[in-house]
Amino acid sequence: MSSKTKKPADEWLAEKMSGQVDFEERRLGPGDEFHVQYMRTLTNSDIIFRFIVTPSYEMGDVQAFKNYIASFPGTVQPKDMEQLMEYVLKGYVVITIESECYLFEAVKTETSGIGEAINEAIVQGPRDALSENIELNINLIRRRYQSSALKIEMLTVGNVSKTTVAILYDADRVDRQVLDEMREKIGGVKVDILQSAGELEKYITTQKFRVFPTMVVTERPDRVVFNIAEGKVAVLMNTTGFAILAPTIFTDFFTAMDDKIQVPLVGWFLKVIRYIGLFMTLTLPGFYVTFASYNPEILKVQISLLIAGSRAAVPYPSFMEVFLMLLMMEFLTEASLRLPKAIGPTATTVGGLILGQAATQAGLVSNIMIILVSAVAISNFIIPLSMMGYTVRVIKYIIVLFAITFGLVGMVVSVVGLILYLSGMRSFGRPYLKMTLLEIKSKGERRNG
Amino acid sequence: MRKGICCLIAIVLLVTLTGCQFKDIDKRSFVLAIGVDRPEDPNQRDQYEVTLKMAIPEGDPTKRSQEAVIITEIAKSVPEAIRLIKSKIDKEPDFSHCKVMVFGESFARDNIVSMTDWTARRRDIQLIMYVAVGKPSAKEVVNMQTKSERLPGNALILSLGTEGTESPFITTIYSFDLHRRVNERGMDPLMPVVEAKKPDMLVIDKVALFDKKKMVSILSPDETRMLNLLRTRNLRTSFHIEAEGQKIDYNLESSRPKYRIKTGKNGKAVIAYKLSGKAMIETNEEGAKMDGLRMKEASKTANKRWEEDSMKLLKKVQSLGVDPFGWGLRYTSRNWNNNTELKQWQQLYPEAEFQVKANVKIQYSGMIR
Repeated sequence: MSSKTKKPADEWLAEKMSGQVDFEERRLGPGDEFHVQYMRTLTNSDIIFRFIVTPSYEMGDVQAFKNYIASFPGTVQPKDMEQLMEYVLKGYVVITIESECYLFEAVKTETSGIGEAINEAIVQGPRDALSENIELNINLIRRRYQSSALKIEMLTVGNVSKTTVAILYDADRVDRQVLDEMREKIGGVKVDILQSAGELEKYITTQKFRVFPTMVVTERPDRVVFNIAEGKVAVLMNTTGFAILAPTIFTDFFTAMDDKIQVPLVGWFLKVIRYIGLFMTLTLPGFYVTFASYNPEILKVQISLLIAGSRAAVPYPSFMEVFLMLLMMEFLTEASLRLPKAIGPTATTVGGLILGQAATQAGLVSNIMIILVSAVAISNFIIPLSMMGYTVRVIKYIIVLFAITFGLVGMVVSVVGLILYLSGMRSFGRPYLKMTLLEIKSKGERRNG
Repeated sequence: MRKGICCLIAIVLLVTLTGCQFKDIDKRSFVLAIGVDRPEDPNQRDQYEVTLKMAIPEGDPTKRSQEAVIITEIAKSVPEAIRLIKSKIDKEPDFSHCKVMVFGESFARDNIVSMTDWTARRRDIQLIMYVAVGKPSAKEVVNMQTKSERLPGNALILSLGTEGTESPFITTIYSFDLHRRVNERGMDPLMPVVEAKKPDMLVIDKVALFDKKKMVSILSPDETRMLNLLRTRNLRTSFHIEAEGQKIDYNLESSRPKYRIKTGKNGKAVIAYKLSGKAMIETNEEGAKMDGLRMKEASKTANKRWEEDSMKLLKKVQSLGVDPFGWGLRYTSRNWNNNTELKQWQQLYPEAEFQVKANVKIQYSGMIR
């Protein structure tokens, strides 16, 4: 390549990198025969010292050193200047020997290692979470899915960030349509910076306005493996500890990895509990408004009087009370989420005490409302995947709005509307609201979504 | 654009569906019982005296000192009386939890149709409301605050329904049933009678029989029990018999009445009842040892008692000219020709004959067959 360009590669590179603080340039060997250039922050100095610096003085012979460098499996010879630059920025060392250019792999990776899954904690079963290094993640998945059918395709997304994105699938089981769509969509992403799986998920969904997540973003390698085996496509990204799974159906968001480990009866029980929790967290605030202001005849007389009694001191209408308490609860949740662990408990204590105890004593909210709000919050936390949890948190306000304006009729309409909306949704052309797992069909009899 | 307009129209239409307007629960006072009487003053005999028992919930629900507010008003009609009551109370009366309606005896002897019509028409009064006849007046029954009552009107609700006490002397009649019995041909209304016994007791052990409009008779407690045995399945009760000198009480575990309307030899209608039941000995006063023979004897005596008692009751009902069992409806449904079946029945009924066949099996615990 050096023959094609006017300037030798090393000089060209030195010129380009002249302003960089961490660009290093050395001449090695007894007679300074070897010109070495690299980025200090991206390379592993230990490797450079052991495999380049020491041998260069010990060997002495130029030809022998050239062969030695070329013998490393990671060593490449750049085709042009751009490739040279790309590799340098990846953490390769440029060694120029007699105007011949070699790229020696000395990539330093700073990783957080394999941590424990925090967001999707489970009782039994594997605790590993995906790390922020794609190689390590692929390693984690390969270890759990030892099949030659597991195919990995690498892509680069992001003009500036150059994030490596890997598409993983089981070639025997994958839905080809979904795979093609996924490839196309990821290939079409035009952004400068791509840093998290959530962002990528946002870029590859076609709908502009979404209420429900149509792709699972998970941090658990076992969930990734489980879904790949089901014929789904997984997308891993460098620099993030999360993977995207598609296509997704509604039930996927209500499946914890625990369900597989438990006795079937217990597994089903847990699933049913989650749906009850979903229903409760969605409808309880709305029902409160309905019962307290529109249709008290639905409840037993004792409960009606109980609500009426506890509301007797409350100065404003029921929906104000509901909105106030729900908002306070959201604040509490958000606050305890973002606070450092050391002060986190303080927020919950103060919030719980003041909101729960004092507010009722002061007559600002009714006792029943406090019970209701805590029930809503707790049943919201039952949803295993936080993305769905967030969505549900928002949707309950819509249902409350309907309840405020139309009472029980509004409740019915909003729940029916929600189901209609969900039934109309598609994830990669597949129906979203399907209450059974995706079945794997042979290529011939596949339906179009 | 068109979609948007459609959505808008749908929402506007929905607003009309809301029904009750937005009113917070603490701004309503729940009416738990209504009583209707004829005023005692002879000059106002054609007016209505309406008594409402309303629950006013207190601020602290743990105290449970829920006071009842009782307001009585006399007016030319029930709606008028209620409008007048509304101006006597700060909260909007809400009838949606009204569970009991008591007709005063004087009112029941006059005409109940106006009230059954009113309750069926009003959208906020539920049709699962219990109805009863109040003695001496509905006002006193509604006013009665029994000691066991923690919620206004709850004593009435619990005892008239099967939720609380399950007495064989109480006949549970719902408002929808009463309305139907008033309007249906070949079926007449009946209602339990609630007596207010001072200082704080409600006694419900009788049943009042009505022709279509007014009360014609009040049955005795024993007759009431027999009526319930003939009307309902699995009546929870016990009977006392004296068989061959031994006094036995047996507890009915299951019972089942069945009847058919046949045509007799002389062209008369025959209403043939079959009563079957299973019973367990509850007390055996002499303490004599029970064996199969005595058991059979006891069963025989029990059957005889049932047959005699029910025969007496049926004859009495017939002589009153009312039909609380719905025989007429049964007859017309089996012999219909869209024209004369009701007339036929009206001719047949005063002459109808009764047959009762009882078959109660008495057992005792520890018996080996």
